[in-house]
Amino acid sequence: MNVPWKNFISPWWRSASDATVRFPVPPMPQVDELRREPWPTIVAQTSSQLPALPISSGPPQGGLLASLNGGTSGGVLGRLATPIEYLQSGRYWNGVPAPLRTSAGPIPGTGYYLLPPRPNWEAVGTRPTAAELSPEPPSQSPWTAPMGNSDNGAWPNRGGEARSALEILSDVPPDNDWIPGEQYAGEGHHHNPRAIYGKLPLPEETRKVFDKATTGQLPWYRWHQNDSLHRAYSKAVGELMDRYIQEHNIKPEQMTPDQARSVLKAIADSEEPRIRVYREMIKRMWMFYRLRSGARGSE
Amino acid sequence: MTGGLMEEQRREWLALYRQIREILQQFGEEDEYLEEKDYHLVYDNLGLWQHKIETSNLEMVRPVVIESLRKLLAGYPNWEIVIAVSNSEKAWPPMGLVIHDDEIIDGLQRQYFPREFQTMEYKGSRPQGSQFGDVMYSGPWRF
Repeated sequence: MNVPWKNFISPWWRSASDATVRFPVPPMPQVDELRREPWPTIVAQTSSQLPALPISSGPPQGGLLASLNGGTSGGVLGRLATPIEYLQSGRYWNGVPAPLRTSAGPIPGTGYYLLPPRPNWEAVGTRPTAAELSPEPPSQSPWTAPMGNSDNGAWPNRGGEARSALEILSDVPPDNDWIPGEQYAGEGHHHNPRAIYGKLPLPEETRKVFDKATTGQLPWYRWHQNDSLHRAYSKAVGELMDRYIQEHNIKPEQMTPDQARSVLKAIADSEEPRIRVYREMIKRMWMFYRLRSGARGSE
Repeated sequence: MTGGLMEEQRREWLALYRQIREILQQFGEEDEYLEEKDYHLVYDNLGLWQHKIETSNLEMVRPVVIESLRKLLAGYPNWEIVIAVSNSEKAWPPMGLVIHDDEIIDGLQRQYFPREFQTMEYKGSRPQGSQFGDVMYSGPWRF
C-alpha cells in the first residue's frame, strides 16, 4: 500500500550519518515547565525559540476576522487563531516544507477522512537555517554500532547480534496488570501516548517529561466520534519515536530528557496526517471548552 | 467542573479503565506498541465520562463482549463506553456502539460486514438515530 507520509518526519532530525556538523541547541524548558500545561502553552513553549514570522508581506486585510491571521493579538477571535508555528512547522526544518495535502481523503488505519487542506500561508522573512534549528546531533556515546554496520536502527546485544527496538520490547515480560503512568491518569491527552512510551525502558527523568506533557483535562461531559483516530495517532507517534531512536543511534534507555522534548516538539509540529488530525481534534475540544467556560489567557 | 466532580471522574475513570481492560483481555489482544492487534483501549483521560475502544476486529463487538461491558456499567450510571469500529482496508465509514448501563445505541452498519456478523443483535439496544439526541453520535467533531 502506498503511504506517502512514511517519510514526513525524515527531514526533522539530522541522522547520525550527518553528525559531522554540530548545531547549537536552543535552551529547552525544564521538566517542571512542561508540567500540566494546557495544549497551546505546550506548543508555545516548544516553539518559543523560533523567530516570529509574518504571515503576509503586505498590510493585514481588514474585516471582522482579520485578527484570526495574527493569532497573537487583538480581536474577539484572535485567541482562536492557529499559531503560525503550527501552520508552517515544516518550513523550520532544513528549509524543506512539510508536504501539504492537496485533497481530502481517507486516512488509512482510521476509517476517517481528512479535512480539506489548510491554506498555504506564504511566510515572508528570514527563516532560520537548519543549523540554527536542528536538534543537537547525538554525541558519541560509549555505545557504537557494530563495525561496518550502517544500520542506524540496530545495536548489539550481549551476544553481539544487532537487534531492533521492537525485538528488545518483545523481551519485556507481559504484565497485564501494569498501567504505565497510572499516576497521570487524570492529566488529559498525552502528546506521546502512554501506550507508546510506557512500553520503552526509558530513564526515569526522560519518562517524566512524557508523563507531564499533557493537555490537562478537557472536561466535556460527552464528545463523540465513531472513528479510530487515537489508535492511528498512537501508531504514528510510535513510528516517529522509533525513527527518532534509530536516527539518533540510541537505545531507549539512553534517551535524555532533552531528546524527549525534541520528540514532543516533533509531535507538536508534525504534519503527518494521523498525528495532525487527532491533534486538530484535541485542539478543537480545547477551543470549545475555552469558549464555553470563558477561560482566557493564562487563567 | 468542580474539583469534587473532577476527582470523582478521575477515580472512576481509572477504576473503569482497569475493569474494561480485564474484560477485553478475555476476548482479544490489546495493541502492542507499533503492532495493531484486536483492539485499542484509549488511555487518555480527557475529562469525559466516557471510555473509548477502537477496533477493526468484529469479534470484539460480539454480543457477549458488549453485554459484559454493559454489565460493568451497572455501577457507573454516568458513564458510557464507545466502541468505534473501522476497517481501513475496506474503507468502512465511521460507525460504532455506545454502551450505557441501561441501553446500547447501535450505530453499526452491518451491510459492510461479512455475512456471519450481519445478524448480530444486542439485548436492550436501539438503532442510532432513533432519538433526536443521537445527532451527537452521527459524525466526526460532534459533541
